[in-house]
Amino acid sequence: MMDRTEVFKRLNEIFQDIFDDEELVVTDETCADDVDDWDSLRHITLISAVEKAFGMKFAMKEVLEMENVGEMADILVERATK
Amino acid sequence: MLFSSYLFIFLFLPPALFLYYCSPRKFKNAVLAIVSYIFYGWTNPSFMLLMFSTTLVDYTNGKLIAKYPERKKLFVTVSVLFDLTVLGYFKYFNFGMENYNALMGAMGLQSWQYENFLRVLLPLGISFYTFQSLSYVIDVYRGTAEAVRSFADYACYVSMFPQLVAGPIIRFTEVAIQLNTRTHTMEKFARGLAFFMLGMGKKVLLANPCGKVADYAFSAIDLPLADSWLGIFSYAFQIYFDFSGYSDMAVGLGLMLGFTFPKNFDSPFRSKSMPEYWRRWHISLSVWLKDYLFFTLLRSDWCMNLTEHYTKSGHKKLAKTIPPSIALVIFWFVVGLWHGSSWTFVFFGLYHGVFIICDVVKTACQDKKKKTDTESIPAAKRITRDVFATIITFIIACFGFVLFRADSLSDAGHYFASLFGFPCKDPTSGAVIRVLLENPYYAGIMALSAIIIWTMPQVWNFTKKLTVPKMVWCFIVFLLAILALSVQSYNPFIYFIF
Repeated sequence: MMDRTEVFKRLNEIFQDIFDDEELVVTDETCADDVDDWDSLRHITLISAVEKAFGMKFAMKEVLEMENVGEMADILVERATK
Repeated sequence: MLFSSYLFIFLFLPPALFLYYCSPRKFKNAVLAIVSYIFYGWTNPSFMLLMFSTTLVDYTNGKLIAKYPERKKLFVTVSVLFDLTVLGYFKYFNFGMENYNALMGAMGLQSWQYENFLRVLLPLGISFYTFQSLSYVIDVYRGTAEAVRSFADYACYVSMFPQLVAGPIIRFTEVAIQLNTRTHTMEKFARGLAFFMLGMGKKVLLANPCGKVADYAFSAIDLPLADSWLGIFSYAFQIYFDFSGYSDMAVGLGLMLGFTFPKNFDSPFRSKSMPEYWRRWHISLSVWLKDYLFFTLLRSDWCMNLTEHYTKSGHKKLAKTIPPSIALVIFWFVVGLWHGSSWTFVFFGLYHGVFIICDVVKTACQDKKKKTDTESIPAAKRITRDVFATIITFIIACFGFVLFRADSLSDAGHYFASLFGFPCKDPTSGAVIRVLLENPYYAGIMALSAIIIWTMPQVWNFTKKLTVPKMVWCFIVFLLAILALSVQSYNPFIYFIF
C-alpha cells in the first residue's frame, strides 16, 4: 500500500500538469465543480495520466462513479504499483 | 398516441392513473408496463412485439451477466449486437438501400440496383427505448447497476409511457431505486400536473403556431433575406417548445406516477458557447452518448496509444487535441445519425462537432495566465460580451436547425444561400413576412416565444414551490391549449420521428 501523503503529492503534480495551473492543490474533497475546465474530456485525460503515473488501471465503474479526489486517492493507495 | 390529444388526455390518462393507483404496491410496475404497452401498441400493435423482444433479450442478458460474471463480455456483446441490429434495420435499412442504389447508379451499375425494395416501417420511439434498454445491460456489465430480478420491473422501466416514444432517455441507474421505493404524494402529483399542463401549453400554444410559420419558410421556393431569418427563428422556437414541452409533459406524467426524471432542457438558447449549449439541449442524449460512446472511445487502445505517441514525441498540444478530435468526429457522426436516417442529419451532427472540436483545440492551446486576466473585466463589458456570445450561439444553433429541418442537402444549401442574402428570383414572394402581417396572432406568438425563452423562469423552477395562483395559471394555460387543439389541424411531435 502506498502512503496517502505521497499519493497526494504526486496527484498535485499531475493535476497541475493536466489543468496547466501550477497553483492548483487538490484535497480529499476536491471535485469537478472546484476546478475550471474539468469536463468529461479532461476527466478521461486525467484518469489516463494517473493510471500511467501510478502503474494501475481504473475500472470503468470507478471512472464514472468517483465523486472527488479523495475517492481516487483511496483506490491509488490500495492499487498503485509505482 | 400524442400526449397533446383528446384521446390521450381524456380517454387514456384518467383510466390509466385510476388503474395504477388502485393496484397494490407490488403490482404497480406490472400495471404500468401493461398500460404502457397499450399506449405504445395503439397505433401499430406489431411494434409491441419488437419492444418486447428487446426488453426480453436485455433482461435475460442482464441476469446472465450477474449469474456468470466470467462470461459477461459475451452476454453484453449479444445484447449490444441484437439491439443495434434491430435499431439499424428498422431505422437505417431504407437509408442504406437508397445510398446503395445511388452508388450503383453513379458507378453505372444500374442492373445491381434494387429500386423496388420493401420499405421498412419505423417503429415509434425505437431510438429512445433501445438506448434505454442498452444502458441497463452495459451498466450491469460495468458493475454500475445490479441486475433486476423481476421481469415486470424491467418491462416497466423500458416501456413506461411517459418517456417511451420521445424521451428523456432514462438510464437504469436513475430509476433503479425508484422502481421499488418511489413515493406517491400530493405534492409530487400536483407538480406533475403543473409540468404536464405547462408542457402542453408550450407544445400547443407556442410550438404549433411557430411551426406553421416555419413551414411557410421551408416550403417557399425562394426566400428574401429577412424572411429566411424569420423562418429559421420560428423553426428554432418550434423545435425548442415542441421537444421541451414534450419533455415537460413526460416529467409531469412521471411525477404523477411517483417517478422523478432528470431535466432534459436547461434553457439552451441562453447558452454563451456551443459546449454550453450541448450541456443544456437534450441533456439525456448527450449524457448517454458521453458515458457509453465518448468515454469508450477515449479509453480505447487506439486513442490512448495515439495520445502516448504524441506525448512521448514531445507534442503535448497534439496529444491533447488529435485523439479527442477523432473521437469527437465519431461521436458527432453518431449524434447526427441517431436523429435520423438522412445525410442532412449526419451533417447536422458533424456541423455541431466542428464547434466542439474548435473549443477543445482552443482550450488546449490557450495560455492559462491569459485566461485568468480576462476575468477581471468591468461588469458592463462582461454583460455586453455575454449578450453578444448568447446571440452568436443562438445563430450558430439556428444554422444547424437548417440542416435539421431541410428535406435534402440541396434544400439546406438553398436555405443557407437565402440566409446570406443571395439574390432571390422572386423578391415579392416574401412568404414569412406576409404571413406574419396577415396573421398578427403568429407574430404575437413569436414575440411571446422570444420573451419566454430569454426572460422567463423555466418550468422546472416555476413548479418547485407551487402556490394556488401558480396552479391557476397552469390551469388557464392548459384550458387555452385544450381549446386551441380543437381548432388546430397542425399537431405533430417532431421528435416522434426518431
